[in-house]
Amino acid sequence: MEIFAKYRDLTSLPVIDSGKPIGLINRGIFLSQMNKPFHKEVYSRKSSIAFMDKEPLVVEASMDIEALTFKAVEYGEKALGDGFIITQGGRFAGIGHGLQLMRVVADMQAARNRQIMHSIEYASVIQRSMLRTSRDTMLHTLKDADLVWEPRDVVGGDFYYFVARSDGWFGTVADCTGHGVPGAFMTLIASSCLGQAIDQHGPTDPSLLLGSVNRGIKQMLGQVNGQDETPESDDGMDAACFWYDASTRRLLFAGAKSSLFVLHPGADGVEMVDGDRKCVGYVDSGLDFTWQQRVVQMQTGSLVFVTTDGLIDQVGGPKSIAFGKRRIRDLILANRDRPAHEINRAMQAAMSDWQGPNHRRDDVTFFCFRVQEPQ
Amino acid sequence: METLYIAATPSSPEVNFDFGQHQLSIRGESYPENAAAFYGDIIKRLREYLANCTKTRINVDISLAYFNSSSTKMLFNIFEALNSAVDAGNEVILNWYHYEEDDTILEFGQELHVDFPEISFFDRPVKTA
Repeated sequence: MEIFAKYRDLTSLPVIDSGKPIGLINRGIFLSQMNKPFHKEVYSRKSSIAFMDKEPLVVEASMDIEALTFKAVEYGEKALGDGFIITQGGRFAGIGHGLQLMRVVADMQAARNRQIMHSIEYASVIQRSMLRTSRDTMLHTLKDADLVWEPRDVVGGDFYYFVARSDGWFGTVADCTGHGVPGAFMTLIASSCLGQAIDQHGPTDPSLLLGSVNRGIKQMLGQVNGQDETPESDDGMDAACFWYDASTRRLLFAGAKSSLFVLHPGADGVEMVDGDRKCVGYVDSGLDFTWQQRVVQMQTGSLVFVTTDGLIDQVGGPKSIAFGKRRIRDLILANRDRPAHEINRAMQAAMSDWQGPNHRRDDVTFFCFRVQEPQ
Repeated sequence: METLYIAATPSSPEVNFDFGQHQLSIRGESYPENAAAFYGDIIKRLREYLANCTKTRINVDISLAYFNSSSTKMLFNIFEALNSAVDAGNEVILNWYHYEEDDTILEFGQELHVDFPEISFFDRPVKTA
């Protein structure tokens, strides 16, 4: 009793019998018992065993924090409130408290998170460096164009690729399987396959390039049709791949599960140019699949908008449904006379309004440009 | 066969495959971090069930407001298995639920209908008050 009175912070007192812990006395229970009439008189000279918990949680000092946390939670409130006894080789070594344990677990959690986030942040430096050349090319080549690249997490599965030549320019907006770290891995694979294909075939034939990237991804990830029933990877990408021929103002487009939104000057509505429904890569896309080449005749002032499904499928609005293509078409139409960067800002604002309190479902990339007078 | 029930989480749908009643349903949203892991066992159990079905009428209710591209791949595996079950002499009724104004999900359903012609497809737009 004197001990509890002297040490006001002491929540529990271990009872030890020749070095071995035999129980734990809880301050609250002990004091409320002693304060009952005559208890003090009867019990104060007695052994402390009368009020102790005979089955406290006892753990060896060698147990790791994670195992201890699970054990303490399993043991229930008692272990967290009264604390637990720590032994070393079966002999009493000390007492642990729930609050201390919480603090240690929280610190460990924070340290682990920090480590993972530092790793991902550095991965983001690499991913952004890979994209920078393309973005610079696009900004230097196109007078009225804008690109939004927003990974859902710090890194993502969307990427873009631009190449400029004197006779025109090449562009791709692609969405690889997944997001986050696995998505970012895929962008490196797909982007280097595309780079190699362009080195080999030049940038003017999008259909040929998609076919080449398809074979490249399949080979790199070991997804060769029919040879393996259960391949490890079934990954690939959706992509819009195009070559703009400056002298003819023709846009050659090959699409894998993606579409172009095109609005010509004076046209009543936004025209959709759909790609094929087959994805690039993935086990079920044939090694020799050919994505069709579509030719769109552009005019000076034609607007082209292309996006990954992150924008189209974002859930939101009053009924928590997808943003959809219709809203994109309406917004392009309503902003048709504004520069591409303003159209994209309006698109971002509309998406953000739609999303409201919902969280972002996927990575989002969209690109808008206006066809210029040929030089 | 025992019913397969998986409760919904924010990123994965509720799966309720009542094999005894030949009533299979998936509802919610689907964007788990590892879709192959989430759907692997579901597809395995479905295939085991379908292997034992003969001349059975199987009802499938799908009500998904969002699914990411890796989930799409997995859903296709499910529809492929169902499509084959029809070839094996069963009947598969697919009710495709979506909000009336949700063009994105409607469009996906229409594509399914084209890709899996053996499945009796019913578009079920849900009107909102």
